[in-house]
Amino acid sequence: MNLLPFDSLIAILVVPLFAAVGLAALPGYKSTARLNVLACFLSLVFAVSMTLDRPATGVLLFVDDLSIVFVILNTLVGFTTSIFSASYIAHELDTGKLNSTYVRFYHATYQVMMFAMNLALVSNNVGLMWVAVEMATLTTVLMVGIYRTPEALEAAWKYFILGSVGIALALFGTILFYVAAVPVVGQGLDAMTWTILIERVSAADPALINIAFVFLLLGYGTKVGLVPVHAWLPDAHAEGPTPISAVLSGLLLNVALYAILRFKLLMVANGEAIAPGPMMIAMGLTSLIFAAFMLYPRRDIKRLFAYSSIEHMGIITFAFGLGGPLANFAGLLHMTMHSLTKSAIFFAVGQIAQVKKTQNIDDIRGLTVSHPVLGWGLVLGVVADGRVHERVPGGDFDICKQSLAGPAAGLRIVTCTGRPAGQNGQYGLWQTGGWTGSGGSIVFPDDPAPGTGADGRALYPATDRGVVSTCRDDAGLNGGATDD
Amino acid sequence: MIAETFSYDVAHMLAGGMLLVSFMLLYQDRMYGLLNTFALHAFVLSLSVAWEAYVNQSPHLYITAAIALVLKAIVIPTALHRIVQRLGIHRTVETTVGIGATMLVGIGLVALSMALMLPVTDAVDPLARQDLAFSLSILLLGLLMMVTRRNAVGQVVGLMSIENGLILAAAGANGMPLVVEISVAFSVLIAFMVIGIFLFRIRERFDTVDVHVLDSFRGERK
Repeated sequence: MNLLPFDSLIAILVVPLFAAVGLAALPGYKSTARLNVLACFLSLVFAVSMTLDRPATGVLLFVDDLSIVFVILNTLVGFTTSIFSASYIAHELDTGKLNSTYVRFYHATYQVMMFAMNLALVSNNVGLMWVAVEMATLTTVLMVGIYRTPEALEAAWKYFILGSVGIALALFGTILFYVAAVPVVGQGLDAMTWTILIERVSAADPALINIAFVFLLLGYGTKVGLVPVHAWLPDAHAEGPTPISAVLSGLLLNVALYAILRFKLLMVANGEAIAPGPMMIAMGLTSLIFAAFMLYPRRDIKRLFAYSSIEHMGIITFAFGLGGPLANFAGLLHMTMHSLTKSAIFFAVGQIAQVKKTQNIDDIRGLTVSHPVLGWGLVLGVVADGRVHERVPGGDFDICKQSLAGPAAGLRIVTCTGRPAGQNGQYGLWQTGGWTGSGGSIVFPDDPAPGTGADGRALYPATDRGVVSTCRDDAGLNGGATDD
Repeated sequence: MIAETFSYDVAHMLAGGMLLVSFMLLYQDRMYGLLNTFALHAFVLSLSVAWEAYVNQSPHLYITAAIALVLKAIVIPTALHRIVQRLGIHRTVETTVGIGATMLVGIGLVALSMALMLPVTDAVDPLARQDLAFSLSILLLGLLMMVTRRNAVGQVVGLMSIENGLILAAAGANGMPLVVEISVAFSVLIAFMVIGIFLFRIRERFDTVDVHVLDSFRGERK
């Protein structure tokens, strides 16, 4: 049932590319901002249409159940961010932080970045996937450095150097994987095609793909922001334009994680190779604990949420490392929630930073009094962000995460919203109580019992509520955006 | 049979030559010397890739060799020369660790990569096998170089020597599709543009390309 004259798989790649060319050529701010939103919306429509009409698997491109989740999430957050970015960039133009040439450059780069991320998510060829991740890295480097302040330059330089080294390690891993696959699959494109590899990888030499996976995990792990290769992440989030912080946090980290997942599946399919799970669990837990400690002394509000992203990515990597249907579902769910809430939080933070003219937490006070919609929007966002921890069902996994991430999330609430006014101080403490408790909460009382069994159906109510609560937050924030 | 041994020996010599030039990069303490040595690194890479192309009868590798020769051995070093000249930073390259210690660590890293790669690649074609081992060594030496240099140009040269090592591995992996090779070369081009912009911006802001100056601007230390 093909309703369109062309493939929606091609469309999600072609639309951003054409938009990038158009945006680079067209002058004027308002029309280009609208074109940017329109292009993102079109990509979203095409991405959603893939659920109805699954495109055929090609040598270079393909879509399966895993990638479709990532693609829709990617285009959705890309779309919401483009709406936020329109008002954000207008403000930056007014205050003279950016001039019109840079805005044109910004919009074109935004679309190239969307293209690169979509390409990485739908590529069937591991080499092509690498190229796409590299392209996404380079475009985001340019975006992070766009303000040209010393801090922004330092952040972009650090991101560029660490990102390039990570990408180099990932390429070496990809080459090793190809070398391991050649004796089994034969030379040429086939030995890099994921759908062919997954069928035949069981005969490949396990020793070689073990080494390959270590390089891939470290290389793409740099982009995910896993400790100890996370150093670029807080700087890049704090110093770039806020829409880019939202996209970095909500999307680019996911894309890199997706690359790791694809190789993890290959490792598992091999059978004789070392289990990739424990390595991912170790890196995920390290990131989680590290971020929990690093969250406390932060003074910059965007840096605070950057460390929160490291924490969330740690949890997600941990979940995928555990493996099995339940943990994988938990990982996907957590990832979706994190992308939605974290981008929403960055939208709020971007507005707050513009209103208060500072990113320093100490100087941001009394938001719920001075800007009620914005303040409560942030509270809702942070609550949802912390609630993500509890949303995820699954036995001891759940308990482990609550015990580790609960205090961290509580801390965040205290640092972000607890300080402003007297009543908010109470609110902060009240929330902390809700967090460290048994999973029951005051904001959303109907919590699924922890340790829900392997029965998939029992898990669905949790998803629905998760989506509903996130939508509620988004609505609150959008209200804030229009009110201001 | 003799021809086969000969072709293997030549490939081995060229890849080994690259490793040797990587060591030479480690101890350069002059900016121009560093850039010239990098040009030599890229030149040996292009010879090595061209030899692979000839031996394996894979003509597409000649393109990779040509890109390495033109872009990395000629265009980029020349451009960096000009930048260095314009910025007036040709005197010395500051290193954070002494040269002797760096060389010893480098030797250790090469031994490590041989010990890691050779046992697991028994089943692989011998040419590809030695290329993988050499390229891992070059990669690790490039990382070492990036760690020991304080200067932005030095770090960039280290990064590009890593990419040279990767191209050697990609060329050695038999029949690896062209997609990746061109993209690697292409990405280097983009990367270079980015670097160029950055160098000028850094110059514009700080009047230096010593990346340590940047550290004082780290957001948390204000």
